[in-house]
Amino acid sequence: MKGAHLGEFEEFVLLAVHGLADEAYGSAVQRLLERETDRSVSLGAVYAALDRLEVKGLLRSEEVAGTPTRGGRRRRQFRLTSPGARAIDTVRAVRERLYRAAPTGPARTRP
Amino acid sequence: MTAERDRPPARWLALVRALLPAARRDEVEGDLMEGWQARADLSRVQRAWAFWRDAVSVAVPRRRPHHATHQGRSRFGAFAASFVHDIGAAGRLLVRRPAFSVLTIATLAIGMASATAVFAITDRVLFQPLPFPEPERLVALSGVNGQEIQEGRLKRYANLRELWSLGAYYTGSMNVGATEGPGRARVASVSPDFFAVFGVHPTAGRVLTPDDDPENALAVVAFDAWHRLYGGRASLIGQNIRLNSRSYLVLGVMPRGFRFPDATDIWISGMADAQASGPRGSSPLRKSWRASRQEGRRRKPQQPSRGPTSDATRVLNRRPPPYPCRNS
Repeated sequence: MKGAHLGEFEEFVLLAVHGLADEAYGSAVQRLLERETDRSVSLGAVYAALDRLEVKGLLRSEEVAGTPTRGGRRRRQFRLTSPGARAIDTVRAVRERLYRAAPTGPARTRP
Repeated sequence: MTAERDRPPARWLALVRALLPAARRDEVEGDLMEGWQARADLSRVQRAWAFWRDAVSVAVPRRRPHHATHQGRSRFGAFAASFVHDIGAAGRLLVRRPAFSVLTIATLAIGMASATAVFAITDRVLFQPLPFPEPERLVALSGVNGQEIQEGRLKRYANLRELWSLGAYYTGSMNVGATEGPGRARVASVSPDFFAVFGVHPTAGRVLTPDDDPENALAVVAFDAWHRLYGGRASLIGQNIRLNSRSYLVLGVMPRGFRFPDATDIWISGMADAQASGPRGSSPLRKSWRASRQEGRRRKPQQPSRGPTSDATRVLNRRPPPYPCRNS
């Protein structure tokens, strides 16, 4: 583990798991990220990020029985741990401080 | 179409299952099925593309995930997963930068081809021995600038003290009426002791000897030509073959690899023995084609390394040439 630093994609995945609450698993996280970021997100990238976050102790997972749409196949459901919740708070605080330091109004390049 | 029925093709799922570690199959398969249903509004091609993008991204992860190297895998399984991961990473890099990839592959191809060519030539020329016993005792005699040696001089060369035996040959090509259909063959017209010079024994049958009448039309076939032209039949020995409408009796087949000179397919009698006192034989090659003629000679064993050149020069200078006007 390379420290507790969060990459941008990891941050997105962590937030998606937080937002999806009891429905946070690979395919759901992928769909949410594609919809909200307007990016093409591969399932493998989501799994890799979820695995890394679990290794960092920010998420934990458990096997849950599958629904009929999955043909009854079980899914791995993720939940935020308390270090994960703290990490989200920290990231948000950092961003808010940076936004406050920046000039107000829409961002533009300076002449 | 209900959600339960709208599934990716079963074969695709089976293939993906085969690529995944057993512990992850259910999870990934279920997620792929949900992803398929979530893209119901896309075209069939777009759905297929998204499915395989997801499947490959999971089966060949960009970063080596922990489950790929540790959970439920043997040491070999972990190695295989790591190997597949590396191949995948290389493939993605190649696709991402096609111009660089083409340049790299072309450079590697040219490098490998040139190294192979250099090795093949070096191996053949420097490391592989000639396909004759005691090749260090063989010398080749030819005229100045590779010109033919006049037949009149053969007898004098035969008297050189340092040379043990002497064979002479012409080369050319002739029409063959072969079992597999007519064709051309590289033919050498040789003197009767040609094969004795090389000390190579035939694979089957026998070779020409000085006891054979030079007027008889006799032939010895190379191993490759035996298979290529005559189907490798053992019964070929003792039969007649046709070369340029003339019939030659096949005496034997030489071993694989012996094709001296100039990748010869068939050796035929027709050159007079250098030491023969009788009438000289006639060579069909000499009559029909401009052919080169050289002599292979074997030095006597255990000779001092003075070389035959000094001896040859001494003999030629001492003896008056039979045709003074030509030798001036």
